[in-house]
Amino acid sequence: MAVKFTEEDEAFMKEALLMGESALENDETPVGCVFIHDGAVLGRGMNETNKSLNGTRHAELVAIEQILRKYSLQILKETVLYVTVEPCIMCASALRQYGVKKVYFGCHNDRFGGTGSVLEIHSDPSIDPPLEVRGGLYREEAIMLLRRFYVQENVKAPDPKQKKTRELKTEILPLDINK
Amino acid sequence: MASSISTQLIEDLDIKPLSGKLVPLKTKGELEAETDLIDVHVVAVNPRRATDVVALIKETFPASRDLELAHLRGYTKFTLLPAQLRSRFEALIPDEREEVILSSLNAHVDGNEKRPPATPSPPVVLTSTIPRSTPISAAQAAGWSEHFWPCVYKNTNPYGPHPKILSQSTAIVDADAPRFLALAERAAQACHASNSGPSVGCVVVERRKDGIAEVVSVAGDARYGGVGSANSCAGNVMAHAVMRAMGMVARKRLRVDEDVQGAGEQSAEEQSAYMDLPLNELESKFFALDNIAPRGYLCLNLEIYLTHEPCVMCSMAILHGRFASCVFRRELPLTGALTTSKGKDSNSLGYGLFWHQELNWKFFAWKWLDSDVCGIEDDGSGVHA
Ligand SMILES: [Zn+2]
Ligand SMILES: [Zn+2]
Repeated sequence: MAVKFTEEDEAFMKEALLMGESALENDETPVGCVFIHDGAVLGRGMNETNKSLNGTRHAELVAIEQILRKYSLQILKETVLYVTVEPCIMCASALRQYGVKKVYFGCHNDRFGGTGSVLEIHSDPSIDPPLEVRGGLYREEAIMLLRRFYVQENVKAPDPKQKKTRELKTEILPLDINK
Repeated sequence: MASSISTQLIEDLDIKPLSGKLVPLKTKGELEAETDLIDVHVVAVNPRRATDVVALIKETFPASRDLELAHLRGYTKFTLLPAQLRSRFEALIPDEREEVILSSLNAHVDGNEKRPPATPSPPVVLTSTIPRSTPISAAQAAGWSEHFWPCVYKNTNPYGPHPKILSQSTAIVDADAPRFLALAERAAQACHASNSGPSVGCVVVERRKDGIAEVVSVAGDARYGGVGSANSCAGNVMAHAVMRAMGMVARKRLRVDEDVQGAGEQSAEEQSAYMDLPLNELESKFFALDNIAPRGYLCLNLEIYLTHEPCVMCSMAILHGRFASCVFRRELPLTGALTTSKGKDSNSLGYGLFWHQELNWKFFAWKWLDSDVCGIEDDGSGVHA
């Protein structure tokens, strides 16, 4: 039986979802995150790949950059990450190399997921200690953010055919226990 | 001869091109296909009855149709069989040399030893090993024909890049790799000399329509520079050479697009923890050139030349950036994510990220093989590049 998420976990993931909301407002893929240190938010991040023209500016790395402006590297080893979508393969490797303590994520990332969906970068053999990961926290909310983004993108698309797929899908598939 | 904006810069640096050759990396699928052998039944039949027997086999063993073996000849002449198989048949049917051997490959599947009924004389059935996958080169097909069963090469590759396209790309990259890898070495040394990080470097190139290569960014590793302390051995991971070089490409795009259409959102030119502004004269020289095609997307179709095999993070960054090609010089089995390997006992990661079935972008990847292997220093592999 899975251990329930604590109220604190929920509160932090809500902060991450807010970051996802702002990404959406800025026409970025709506993924948001917060790094927690000693029970307080140390840094926040959201996707910035469109604005920066840089495919590596994912929420996790954006937040780390913000943290490293003020703190030394060592502090990352004492942080817990709450991110709305499963870290991709790139970010999973970065988080493991930085030595982040634990990762909570919302929904799975079937296209790029690096902590179970496509690869298992968090637990595979590596010269770095494993990365502790737990998914499924506010999963539906994270998926809704992504769906709203795709609807928004379709509205902008010049091809009128795409507009037909515009209706928002609100039903959410049950969590795949195999993942 | 046409030259790129960056050509003169490289000439001024007086760089000695490396000597060696490119070796395309094997994809995970190719590696698995190479060793995917299965046992099938083969049967000797009279040529006049071959058609009947094939029909009979298909009828008797319906499951046989599931086995895709189009790369193997359905039936073949006795003389075309591999020597070992020929002698096994000869031991059983010494007098009937004129017989044609029919592969009853389709008859396998259930591993049943049942023989096809209703042939005039009991047929000779043997179990033989054959490659289940399509050969991906003429040489491989020839080798399989000699060892397993006559085999056809169709100039395709379901497990990796199409052979024709790969050889075209290899020819293009091959001409420039000696210089660009040497330039990557220079970038690695420049950062290493200032204690910025381990001696890892890379060069990002845009291939113009006329085939001329334009160097758009050059970066060394800066994981120990700028922020934090060097007492953590991983350092600032985002400052790996690949991430820095990609950051410089993005900044250059913003700059060039702003000049072109006045629309780009120019970010402040100050060094951040991304470390994606030049750290030395070498990096600055290439960063300063407005030599990238305007309105481009990420690192779409660019090429990257590296001193070392990139780590998981950097390999995936290359994929996110949609590079077309990647060449690296030193393999890093413990941390590199481009090469493939088979079996859990292998001590390399073996992700083969450049050509992964489940990922939505694939690129070509080569390892550089120095002509003088002794000339390349062993710098240990317990580091992420
Ligand atoms: Zn990511
Ligand atoms: Zn790296």
